[in-house]
Amino acid sequence: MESEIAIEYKNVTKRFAGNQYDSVKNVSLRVEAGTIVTILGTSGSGKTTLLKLTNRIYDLTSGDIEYYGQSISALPVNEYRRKLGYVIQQAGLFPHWTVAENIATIPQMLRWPKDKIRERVLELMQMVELDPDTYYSRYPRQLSGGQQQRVGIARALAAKPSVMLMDEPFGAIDALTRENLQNALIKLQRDIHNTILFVTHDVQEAFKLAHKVIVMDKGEIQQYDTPYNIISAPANDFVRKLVSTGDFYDKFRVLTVTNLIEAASAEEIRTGPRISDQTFLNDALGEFLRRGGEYLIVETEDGKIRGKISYNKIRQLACNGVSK
Amino acid sequence: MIRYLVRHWDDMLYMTWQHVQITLLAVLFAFIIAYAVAMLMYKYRFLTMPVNGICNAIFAIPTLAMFSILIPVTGLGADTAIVTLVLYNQFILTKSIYTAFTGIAPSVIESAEGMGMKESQIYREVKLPLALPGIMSGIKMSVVSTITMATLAATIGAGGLGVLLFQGIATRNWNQLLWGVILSTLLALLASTLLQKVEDYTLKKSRGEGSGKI
Ligand SMILES: Nc1ncnc2c1ncn2[C@@H]1O[C@H](COP(=O)(O)OP(=O)(O)O)[C@@H](O)[C@H]1O
Ligand SMILES: [Mg+2]
Repeated sequence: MESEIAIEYKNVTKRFAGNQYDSVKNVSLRVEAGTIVTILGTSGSGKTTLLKLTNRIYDLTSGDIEYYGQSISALPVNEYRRKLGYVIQQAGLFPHWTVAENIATIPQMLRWPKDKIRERVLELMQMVELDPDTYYSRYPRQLSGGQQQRVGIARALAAKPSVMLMDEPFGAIDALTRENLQNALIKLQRDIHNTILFVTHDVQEAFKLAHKVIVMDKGEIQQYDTPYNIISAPANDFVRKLVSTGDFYDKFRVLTVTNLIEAASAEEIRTGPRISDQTFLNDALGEFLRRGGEYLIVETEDGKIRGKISYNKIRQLACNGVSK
Repeated sequence: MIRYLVRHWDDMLYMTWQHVQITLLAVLFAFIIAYAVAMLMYKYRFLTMPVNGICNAIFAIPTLAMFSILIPVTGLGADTAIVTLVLYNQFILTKSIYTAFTGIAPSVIESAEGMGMKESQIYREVKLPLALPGIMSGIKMSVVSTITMATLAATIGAGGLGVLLFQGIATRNWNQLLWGVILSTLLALLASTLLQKVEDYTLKKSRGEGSGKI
C-alpha cells in the first residue's frame, strides 16, 4: 500500500548570503505520514537548516518543499506554521506564562472557547506525563529541564499538528531523563500517529526513535533508510564509520525485533511466550536469558501475531556483527 | 531655616512643580524618541554602532556649552532646558531599551515564530512584557538623572529648584541653598523609590510570578 506523503523535499538547496558553500545541498526525499524520521549528522551538517526550511523560517535558495502535495511557498506562512508543531533545544517556553498558558498558546491564538482550552491542556499534560495538580499553574523557571521540554512538546501538540518538527529537543538533558523522554515520545507517537521530523546528533537516539533515518553530512543526504537497513548496509564510508561506533549491544538497544521475524507454526504460536513487535533487541535478548526458550512469539499492540523471533537469529547477529 | 520655609513655602512649592514639569516633559519626549531609535537599532543591527557613537558624543558636551549652542535656536527658558535634557537622555534610554529587547532569549522568540504567532502578537504578548523591566530600569535612571541635571535649567531662566541653589550661592543665603539641596534630593529619592517599585513589579511579572489567566 502506498502511504500518504506528509512532506516532500524536491532538490532542496540552501546557501546563506555570504557563504561559499551550500548548507543544504540538493536534498530530495519523502517523509511518510505517521512516521518518525530522524535527521542525524554531526554539528554543522545542515540539520537545523533543513528543519527551518521546512517551516519557512528560512527561504529556499532552489528546489521546493511540499506539504501534503502543496508547495509550502504557496501557503500563508503563519497558518502553515500552526499546522506544524515546533520544539527546539532550549524549549523556548514563555517565562512570564504559566505551564497551562504556555501549552494553550496556539488554542488561544485560534480563539478556542475557554472550556475547550482547559480540557485540551489537561489532556496534553496527561499525555506528556505532567501532573496537572502540581504543574498547571507553575512557571517555567520552577521546572527542571526535562519537565520544561515536556511542556514544550505539549505546547507544540496543542492544536493537533499533523507534523512535528523537533530540533535536538533532548540535547541539553541528562542521559536518564533523556531516555524517559525518548520512550514517552515513542509511546505518544504510537498513540496519535502524527509525523515527526526529529533532528539529533546522537546516533543512539536517531536509531532508537526512527522509522527511518536521514544521515546528513556537509548538507548532503548520505543515506535515507530504516535503522536496520542503515546498520546492516551502510551506503558509504561516512555512514559505515558513523554506525560502527560502539559494540553490538549498542545496536541492540536501538533496533526492534521487527527485522528478525520469521514464520511461526501454529503449535509455536499456541505455546510460545509473547512479546510486542516494538521490543528492542536488547530487551528480547534479556527475555531469552530469563526464560531460556528457543523462540518468542511477536505480536502487534492489538494482539495480531506477526511470527516468531528465535534466539539463534539474535545470537548470529551478535556474532557476525550487524553488518552483513 | 524654618523661618525661610514659612516665608517662602509658596515659591518653593512652585519651583518644585516647575522642576517636576521640566523633568516629566523632558523624559516623555526623550522616551518617545529613544524608543523609536531603539526599535530601529533592534531591527537594523548595523545602526547600533553609529547611534551609540552619536549618543556618547552628545552626552560628552558640557551642559553650559549645550545651552549656548541651543539658545540661538530655542531662546532662553524652559524650551532650551528641555531640549538639552531630551538629548542627554538618549544616552541612557536608547541603550537600556535596546538591551531590554536584545536580552530576550532567542529560543523564546524562535519558538514563538515557529508556532506561527504574528509579528504584532509576538511583540505585544512576548517581547514587550519580557523587555519591560529593562525599559523601566532605563526610565528610572533617566528620571533620577534628569531631576539632578534639571537644576542647571535655572541658569537660563527656566526655573525649577536650581533657582534656590544658584540664588542661594549668589546671595550667600545658606538657608535658601540648603532648601534647594534638600528638595532636589528628596524629589530624586522619591522618584527613584516609586519607579523601583514599578520596575520590581514588571520584573516579577516577566520572570513568572502570580497566578495565570487560565
Ligand atoms: N543563518 C546562517 N547564516 C549563515 N550560515 C549559516 C546560518 N545558519 C547555518 N549556517 C551554516 O550552515 C551550515 C549548517 O548549519 P546548521 O544547519 O545549523 O547545522 P546543524 O544543525 O547540523 O548543526 C553550517 O556551516 C553553518 O555555519
Ligand atoms: Mg542544529
